[in-house]
Amino acid sequence: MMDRSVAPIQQEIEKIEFAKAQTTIFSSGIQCHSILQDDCKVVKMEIEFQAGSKFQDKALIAAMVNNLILEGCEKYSAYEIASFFDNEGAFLDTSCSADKASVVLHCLERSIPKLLPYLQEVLSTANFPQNEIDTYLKINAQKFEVNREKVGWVARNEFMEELLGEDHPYSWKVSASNYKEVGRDDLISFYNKRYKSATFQVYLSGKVTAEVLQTLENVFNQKGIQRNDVSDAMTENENNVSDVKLIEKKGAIQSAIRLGAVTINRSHADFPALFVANTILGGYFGSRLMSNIREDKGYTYGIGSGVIHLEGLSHFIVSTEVGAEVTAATLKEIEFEMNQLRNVLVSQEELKLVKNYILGNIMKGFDGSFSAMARFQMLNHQGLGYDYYQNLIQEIKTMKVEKIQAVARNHMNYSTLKKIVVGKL
Amino acid sequence: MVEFKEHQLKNGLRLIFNEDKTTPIVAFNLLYDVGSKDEDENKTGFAHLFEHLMFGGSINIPSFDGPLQTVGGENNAFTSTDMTNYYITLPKNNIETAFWLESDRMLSLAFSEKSLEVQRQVVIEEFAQRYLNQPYGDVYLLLRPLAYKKHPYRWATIGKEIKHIETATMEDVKAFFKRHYYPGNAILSISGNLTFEAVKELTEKWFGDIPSRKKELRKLPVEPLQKEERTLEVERDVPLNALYYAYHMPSKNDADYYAVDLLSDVLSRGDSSRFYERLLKKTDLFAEIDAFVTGDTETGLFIIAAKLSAGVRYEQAEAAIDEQLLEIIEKGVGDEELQKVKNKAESTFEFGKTSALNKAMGLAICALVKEPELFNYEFTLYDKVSAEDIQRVAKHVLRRENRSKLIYKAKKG
Repeated sequence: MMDRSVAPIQQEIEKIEFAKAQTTIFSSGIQCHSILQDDCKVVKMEIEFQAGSKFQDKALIAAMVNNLILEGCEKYSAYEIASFFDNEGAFLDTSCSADKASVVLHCLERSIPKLLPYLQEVLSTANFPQNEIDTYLKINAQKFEVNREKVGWVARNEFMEELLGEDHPYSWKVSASNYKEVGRDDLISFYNKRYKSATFQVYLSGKVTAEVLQTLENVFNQKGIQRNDVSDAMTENENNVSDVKLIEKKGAIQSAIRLGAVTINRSHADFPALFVANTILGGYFGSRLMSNIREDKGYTYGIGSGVIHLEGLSHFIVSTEVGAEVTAATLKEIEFEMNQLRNVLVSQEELKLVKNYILGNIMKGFDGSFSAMARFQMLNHQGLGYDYYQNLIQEIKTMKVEKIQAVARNHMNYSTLKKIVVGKL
Repeated sequence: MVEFKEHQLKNGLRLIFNEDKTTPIVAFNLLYDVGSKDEDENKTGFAHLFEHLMFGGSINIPSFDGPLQTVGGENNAFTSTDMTNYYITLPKNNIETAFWLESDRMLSLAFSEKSLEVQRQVVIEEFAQRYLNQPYGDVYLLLRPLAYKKHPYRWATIGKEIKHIETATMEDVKAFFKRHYYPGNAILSISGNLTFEAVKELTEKWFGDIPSRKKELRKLPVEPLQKEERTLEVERDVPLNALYYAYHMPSKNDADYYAVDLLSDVLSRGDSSRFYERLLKKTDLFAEIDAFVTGDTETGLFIIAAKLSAGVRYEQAEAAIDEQLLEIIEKGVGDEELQKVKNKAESTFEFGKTSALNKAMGLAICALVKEPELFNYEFTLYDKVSAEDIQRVAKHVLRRENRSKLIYKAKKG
């Protein structure tokens, strides 16, 4: 009989094999990054513009241009465009963050020669018909009314302004009146500057054959302006003690809590230690916040912490939704767990677990070309190469508990976190 | 084509293995043939609560997550009306840890009181976060019991009410485990860069000595044929009036299932679909409108869900939807329109085969519904559907007397 209480022998994770992206620069200056996965029939292509919300001078503009770019061009109506891609079984989506805006195509590889020239036409001659703008505003103003009933959504909407002040380019929040202030001219001017005359990058994964790349190069051969947008590098917030900002919601069964502070970026020498410290605190299912606040107290369905990296601005956050009556108790426990990291050395056992968890998780990030491309895209955004992972892995393998404590003391201070509660306190 | 091999242990456990030489991780998916449809109507939400308890320690191993994370692994699980599915991804050289952990909790749980108390509270918070504290969160808690009168699909997986979770006892937990968690009621599906021989050997080693049990024949109450339209009206503190139609439709083992699924795609999949183009964009009646199937193994629901623009009366909205339904019943769909939704289905299937985890999970679910081969040929079942089929099922499913209607009104000021 085998002894089931004894774990199988653990194999160390020695090295992680990456599926690496190949970068081709076309004569037009367009950068194309690709990872081939030969055993599938599909392609994902993301065309990424320097057109995130930080570049807008009015709320909603970046997101609207991004969304409406597929809703009509000189030759085709919104319906014709949607039908063309739907007919091929393709999925054409848009996404817009604070830094970037993308158009994302998922399709069968065989559809590429047909779809790309059409897509190029749509993107380069978008004309933002007034009726599409009206429809967008109508639908989204009503969605906004639904969203502002959600405590978690409200906390996210308010948070960046609380963190950075209302004038910061990352501080855009949406309010009901914004839907009345957008004009077609605003959209066209943003489109002309950020899409039409600008260069872009392309990320391709899946069945990216040589023919696919050739088609792409043939189709997207117009020259664009390289925009070097310099974002101000941010320093950490002044260490002022920050009180909780409460946004009351009557009848809320749960409160949303969102806390955070500006922190160091991925290139900083202390980052690997912060990464480990954050993972211990709230970065995985077995984290201290989850163990304490979910698994021990049952206050929440989920709680987590993380470091979010925008261009030139990284910030640390803790977020959760908890039973309204235990909101204050949850804040106390978050404070307690952050202080524990600063005051008490992590045990060797916990460190070992977290190290291996992180290494396994990095490996999982390379399951299939689509995930592997998401990793590359992150590196590219941060101006990092694959040596970032080699270095991170090395640092994590040799991480010492004293280093984690030092980093927690420098970068994880509950009292100076900006704090938002939506619901009840 | 996703290649796989199969093996069945003497105790009844089914093993499915897909060799994937390209991935650095292994996906280990263990599916149990138990869902909320197997619950007692006075103890609903139990399959899902039980899923939480599966992480509270097993007979020989006090913690499930810790040892897994220590070897670089990660896991999660979900419960639906038809199944409870547990999945792990981990570096391939530590694959044996997954076998060790999963086989021990199939053998027996620790049944700790503390775990029951905490997970009970966590599930209550999940209930609050996802169903009560969200605008429109309770729609399916209302719609299911309206559409089903006898079949256990009449309650949602989270349960009918919080009280059932609050009153669950350790005896209930033990009885549920005994009844549903054993080798013959499970399907183990693995995808990764391993050999079939190695996987078979590990499966025999860790699961081989778990006692077998006779698989209970499932006897679910049959839902009587609905003979007249049902309507429920509620008022909630939400910004917009909403409207939901639910129609009974064929089960996943009926060829017509695929025709009905494509019918919902014709109506609302993609920005060129009928609802999107004709109702959402061309009229001012709706803020949102969708049609979809619940995808249940047994006879599920075809649902139309709409949020009405401010100021629009229910009669106007309903007339507009009914006009679209009538058109498809009377005139059917064009060949090009049908080809379009088939093409969408095809690319969706192809994207579903691009990671080890998708493959392991997909093979297991297909094995449960019918057979693992279904994972490779399911698209052909869509491809076979003709325009006549769509019109025929539209006529049959979209009958008024087959419909349950939920009027979900926004409370005034």
